[in-house]
Amino acid sequence: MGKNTSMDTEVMIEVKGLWKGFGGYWVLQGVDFSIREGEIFVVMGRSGVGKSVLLKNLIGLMKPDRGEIYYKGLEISSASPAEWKNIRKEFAVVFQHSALFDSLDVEGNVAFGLRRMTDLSEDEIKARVRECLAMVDLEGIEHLKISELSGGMQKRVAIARAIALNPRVIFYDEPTTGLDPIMSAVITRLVKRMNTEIHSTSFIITHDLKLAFNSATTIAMLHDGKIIEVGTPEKIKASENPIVKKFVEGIPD
Amino acid sequence: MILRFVEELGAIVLLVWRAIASLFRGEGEWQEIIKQMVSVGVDSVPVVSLTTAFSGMVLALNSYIGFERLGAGQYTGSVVGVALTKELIPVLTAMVIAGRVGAAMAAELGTMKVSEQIDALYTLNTDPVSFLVLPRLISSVIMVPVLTLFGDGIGNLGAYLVAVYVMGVNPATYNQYLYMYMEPWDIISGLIKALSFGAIIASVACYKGLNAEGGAEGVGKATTSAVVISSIAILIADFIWGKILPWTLR
Repeated sequence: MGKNTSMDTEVMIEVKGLWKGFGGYWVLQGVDFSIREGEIFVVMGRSGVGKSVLLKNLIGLMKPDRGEIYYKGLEISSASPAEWKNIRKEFAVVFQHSALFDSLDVEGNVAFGLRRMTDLSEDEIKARVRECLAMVDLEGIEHLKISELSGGMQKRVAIARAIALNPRVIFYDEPTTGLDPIMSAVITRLVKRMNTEIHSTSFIITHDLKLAFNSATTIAMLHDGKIIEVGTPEKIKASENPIVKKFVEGIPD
Repeated sequence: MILRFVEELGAIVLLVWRAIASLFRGEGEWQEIIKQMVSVGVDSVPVVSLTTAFSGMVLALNSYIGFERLGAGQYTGSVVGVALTKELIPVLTAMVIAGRVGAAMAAELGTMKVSEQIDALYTLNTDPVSFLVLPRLISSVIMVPVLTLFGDGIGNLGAYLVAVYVMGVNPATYNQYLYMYMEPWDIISGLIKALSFGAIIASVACYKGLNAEGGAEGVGKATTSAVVISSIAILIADFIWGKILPWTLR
């Protein structure tokens, strides 16, 4: 696995002092980190520590109460709708439950962004859909309904939909949750493959240690709304921080 | 409670406003609109036919019995015709559509909300209001009046059949009084009301669906409240129209 964390690569995403709260309770309490181009950046943490809220702030579904988020130097949390339209062309999201449109078939889902954000011809779109499905090892299922797919297949179609527009950053929300160990390994491999094949940067939130240690170039541990440790998988594994240690070893409170 | 009502009403009006604004920005999706027209309109024909046929029939039956006591059985057609086109068919059609289509809209959008499909739309640069709400609103505003007009025909046919073949009213007399006392305005005012009912059904259903929260239970709640609220709103709107229409457009 190529470690692409050297200082000569561009900073893709930078989060500075991010605070987000609901009803008087602060979920995120000053989160800071930066992600360099080509990295697979994994935010790890227990359920309910604010991983999903962090992700939603990054992809513009929520606005921070305090702090800034930069994408290639542009402050995106206060970007205009027109600016967000351009940012979204470079962002792709793989949702936790895949969030495929069940009113459309597989092809309709993978082609959704292509039809709406590009002026490719119908033949070019069909070819691109086949290409993306081949990249996730699903061929010839263009005309299946979403309800006919297994959980693992749905996840892979979601990845195919995400990569269709050649995104610069792919965000994954718990990509292995609810999948069997073998399918989890398949998804982990796909996440890494997407990074190298389409030269994108990946941001993953998960509590799946196997996914984190096998795919990440950098792992950040989120706890009580703060990043308490950042580093390579090796560094996290060897961490002396009691909270990180407990999480990695799976010891109950 | 009142504050919450005003808040929700405001949110629904805002949603409709955003949908109309997106229409003027040219973001209407014709394929989606046609798909919704079929699901709101064509697919509702059987249930609207049954509802309006039977309400026409029962109204004719009871009206004839009442009028016959006064010795005025021949007026059945005109009174039934006015009552049906002005009042009963628009309201009953809207109620049936609220139950059939409004519930389906709220459930579909609610499921999309709780399964993050709405979020996915945003990330794919697609505004759920222009992609989901606008087609439903347009098709409902067009199709509820169309179905009402269709129901006017079926209801009056049902009434005619019962009056003539069951109660033995002379068909010529029935038609004569129907045409003598019924005015085009009776039908038009019913259709104007139906148009507003169509807007109520789609906007309430879409609002409730898009604001569903908390899994299957949330979708169920959204669906129930969409049907209950739009049914009540239809009846209230019907009353307001009843007060306004006579002294405005006529």
